[in-house]
Amino acid sequence: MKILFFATFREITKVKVLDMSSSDLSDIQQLLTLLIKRFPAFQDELFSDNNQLKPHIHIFVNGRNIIHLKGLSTPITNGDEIALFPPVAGG
Amino acid sequence: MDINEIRYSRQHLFQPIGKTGQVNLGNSRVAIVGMGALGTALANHMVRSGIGFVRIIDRDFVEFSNLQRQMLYDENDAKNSLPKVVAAKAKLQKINSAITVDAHIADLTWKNAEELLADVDLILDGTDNFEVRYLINDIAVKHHVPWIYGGAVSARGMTTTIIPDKTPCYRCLFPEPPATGTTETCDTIGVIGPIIHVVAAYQATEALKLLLGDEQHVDTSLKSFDLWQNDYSAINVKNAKNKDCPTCVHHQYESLDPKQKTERFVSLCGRDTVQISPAKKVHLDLDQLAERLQSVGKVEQTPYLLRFFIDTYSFTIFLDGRVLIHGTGDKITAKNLYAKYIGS
Repeated sequence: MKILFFATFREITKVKVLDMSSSDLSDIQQLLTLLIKRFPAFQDELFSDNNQLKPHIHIFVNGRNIIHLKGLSTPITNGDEIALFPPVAGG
Repeated sequence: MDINEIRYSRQHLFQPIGKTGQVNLGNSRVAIVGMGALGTALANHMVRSGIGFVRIIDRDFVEFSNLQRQMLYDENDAKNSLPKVVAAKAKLQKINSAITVDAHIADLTWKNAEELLADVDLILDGTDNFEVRYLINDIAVKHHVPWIYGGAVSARGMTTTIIPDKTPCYRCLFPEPPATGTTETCDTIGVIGPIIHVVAAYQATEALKLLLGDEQHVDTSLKSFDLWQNDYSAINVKNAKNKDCPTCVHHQYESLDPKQKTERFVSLCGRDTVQISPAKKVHLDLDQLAERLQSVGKVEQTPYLLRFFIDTYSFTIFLDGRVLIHGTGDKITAKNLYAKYIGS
């Protein structure tokens, strides 16, 4: 599956896109756990102290916000496109 | 030859517009919320391309830090602390005197949003915060008016087109506004001029397509740019609609009917400024107020606003009773200063 990173997340990953195999990954929570293992800075970037996903972080699976799916339990499979980004405020 | 025949000759030649399309643009009405960097670039395109009615709405005045990217303003506007819509209207009418530029010095809130946005064909987002975008989304969905979101900060930008009843609404895409202080702003991490024009160019082009009814070519993806990192991405959000969306499914317009109607003090993120809205609609007598304040501090007055300097703070007081207190981001300090010098 393809993971797309935007804005400040790229400063952590140093890449725009990661290709990850989904054999061990069945939902978003597992994906984020793996990402944090690989890039520890994601822990503070994504989660608040009580381990909730911060409200300005948006995760889209195939163009749908996971808030409307099953949140962190949203299932993922090979071929999915997952985007992580904060919306842009200024103008 | 008719001056407009010459003025719009290149659009007449552009097949998707042509002479018929030009007439349609002339009969169109657009509102631009926010006349900062994006707003001025958008207004420039709308007025030059011949949109007949362009309403511009902004609560702020021109400062020197704006000149690097807010294309309609100059040093004189900043020196005179002109309200942005006053300065912008003057420039826009020089560019195209045949257009009706309807300028409003106003803070868009639930109190005035329907009056200012429900009677147009399209709303363009030139704002700098999420609170007002949810308000625009409520109006757009309620009155079936399309709107085009745009945001820019640093060298990054984002835009998407919301067409009520056809695309997911803004709340489908982003259900909750970010918590105060969690988003990057132009005042905290900076911004470069070119990203403004990239985002505004996409918004303006989509605006022309929508106004011409060319929905086949309208791009409803969520586009993201990072000019410094050489990146353009588009996320297909056609399936992003929330089947249980409070706004576009259940028609509950939270921003139009806020639970907390009395929040009059708002800290402007990253600006060391608190804005205070009047409790009731007023039209201030600035002369009288200037006379009163002159005895305690320095006062500068223009036909549109009053600036008052006291200790390390300064006040900008608008005719509609709105006050900006600069020099503090703390609402309590601002409330005290307000009560002390303006009164409740």
